[in-house]
Amino acid sequence: MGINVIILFAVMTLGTLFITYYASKKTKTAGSFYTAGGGLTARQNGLALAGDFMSASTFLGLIGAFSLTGYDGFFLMYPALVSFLVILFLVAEPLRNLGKYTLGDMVTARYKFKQVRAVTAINTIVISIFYMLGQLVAAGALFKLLLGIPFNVSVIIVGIGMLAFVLFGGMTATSWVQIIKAILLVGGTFILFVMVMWQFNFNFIGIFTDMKTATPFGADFLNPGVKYTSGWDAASLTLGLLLGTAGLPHVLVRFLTVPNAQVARKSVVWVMWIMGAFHVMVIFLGFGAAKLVGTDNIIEANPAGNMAAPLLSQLVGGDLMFAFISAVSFATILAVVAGIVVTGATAFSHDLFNEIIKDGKATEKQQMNMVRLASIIITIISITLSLSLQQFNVAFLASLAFTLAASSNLPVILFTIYWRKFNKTGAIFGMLVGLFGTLLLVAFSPNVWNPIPGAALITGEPIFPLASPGIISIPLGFFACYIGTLVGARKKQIVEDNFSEIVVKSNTGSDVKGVVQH
Amino acid sequence: MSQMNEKIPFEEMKQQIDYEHIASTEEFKKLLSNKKKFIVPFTLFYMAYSLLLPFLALYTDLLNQPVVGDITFAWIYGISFIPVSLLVCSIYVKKAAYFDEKAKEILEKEGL
Repeated sequence: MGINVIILFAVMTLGTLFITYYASKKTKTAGSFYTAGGGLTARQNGLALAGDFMSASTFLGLIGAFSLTGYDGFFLMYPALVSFLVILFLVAEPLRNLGKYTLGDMVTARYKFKQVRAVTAINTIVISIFYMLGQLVAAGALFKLLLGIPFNVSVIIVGIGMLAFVLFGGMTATSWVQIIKAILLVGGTFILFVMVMWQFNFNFIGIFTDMKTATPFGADFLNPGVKYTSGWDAASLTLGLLLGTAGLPHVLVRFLTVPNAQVARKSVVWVMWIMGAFHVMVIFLGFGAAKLVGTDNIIEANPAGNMAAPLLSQLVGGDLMFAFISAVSFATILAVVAGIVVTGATAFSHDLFNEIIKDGKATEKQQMNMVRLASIIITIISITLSLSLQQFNVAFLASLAFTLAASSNLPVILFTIYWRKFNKTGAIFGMLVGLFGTLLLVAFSPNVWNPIPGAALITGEPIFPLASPGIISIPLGFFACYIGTLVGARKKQIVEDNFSEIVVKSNTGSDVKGVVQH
Repeated sequence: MSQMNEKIPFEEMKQQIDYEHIASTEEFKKLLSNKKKFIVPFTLFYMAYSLLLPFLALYTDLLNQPVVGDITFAWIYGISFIPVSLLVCSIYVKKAAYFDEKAKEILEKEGL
């Protein structure tokens, strides 16, 4: 670790602490903690969303995937972009028009029952913790490699750093760290991209020819099938990523940080353009890493390919570039986990504590105390779990969070907005079956079962053949909503049907005075 | 099984706005059906476009033909997600502005 790395890390840390200090002065009310007061602009929110998406696993993982598995990197990459179309077309605007602070607000706008809110909140917390585990374990492994800090220490450092933003600055600090990090990450990637393509004389066609001889796969590197052999497995992964984004609580809550549906829509446009540009660069950076760093060196540093981007930056840009990319990766992980903690803690404080235990009558002070306490508890749970999971390959945890979101949250969100007959029983049943169904399928999948001793948690043949359960669990979630609705329809209606109100509000939204005021 | 306490402002608003009435107007019904005619085909298109690739790529050799140099159809397909998504996104934004206009007209007509 050179002096450059230390200086850049210090600058980055001071910068984020400054933001946190500034944001903490603005974070006086629970509303500003939960959703930054709903005052972000489209560009700010678009950048923050892009920041949420360009996590360490995306930046380091995708470049690694293209460098080690060639074409198969696409199966991890394109669904993320298309998933924002799902959000844009189906979810963003109704969510903004109906929700206030959480997903629970949106679902209970239609079913005014505490049970629905409780299940939504618990679901949010479970998905958030799974997503965070993947990030924390990746962070630990990354800093062990980058800085030589032991895994346990790295995870704890990330945990404490993140908690500092969250406790003092809430969603405002988290959003700003996310925005600045997104700019640095895209900027850094662009500089790296230019440096790498310089080495290839900016020959975007010729680089493909180079790739035929650059890796041990030879010409097959350019063909699909290096990593995935089953179209069903790849499609299942694709489907989970495609629909999962629209159910991920920490992504959805971003649409509640803007003032109205029009801004929510424009922020999706921003995130799609940013990610589109980023994705083009990622492909060529992956190629660059494979050719310049070499497959053996990438695998030696980290078998999953996570070090491809840092090694490449060191090779083409020297220690300064390496330090910059490492520092940005650090900021990335901090910002992403902070966003997830805010989301989980908000679900706890706003939904479970204020709306359910206190009947919506908790004071600002009580809510602020509760959301901070919840942040601490969620952080402790996540750190403890990641420390105990370190010896296993947990790369699937993040994709599991996507599949969980797609199987349990998305069906309920869509039916709440679009299906008149959908009812409370359907919502609760759908969420629970989606959640536990996915977890069960994963428990029987090759992620947990492997015939080779030590390769997975349990030694033995997997009962369920696919590594990503999406293609089964997502339809299961929708089906469970349907069955639950049929069962619920046989009971007597307790509250009047307010679907007309939901449909009018979700389609006309902010033009109705006072509907979505923060 | 306890019902959630609705807050007072919400209750007041409910009296002001007759959602059932708005939902039953011809204009609103037309807006919804126009939205549906736009959203459903596009959603089916981008979902199908995304889910087709794994099967084409891993079960057939159709995409392995080179187009320019050593760039095959598979790469064109993979990269095409970027322009195609951005195109669909801009179409949506244009259409949504039109829907906004219609929604505003409906609300103005109802005196909101």
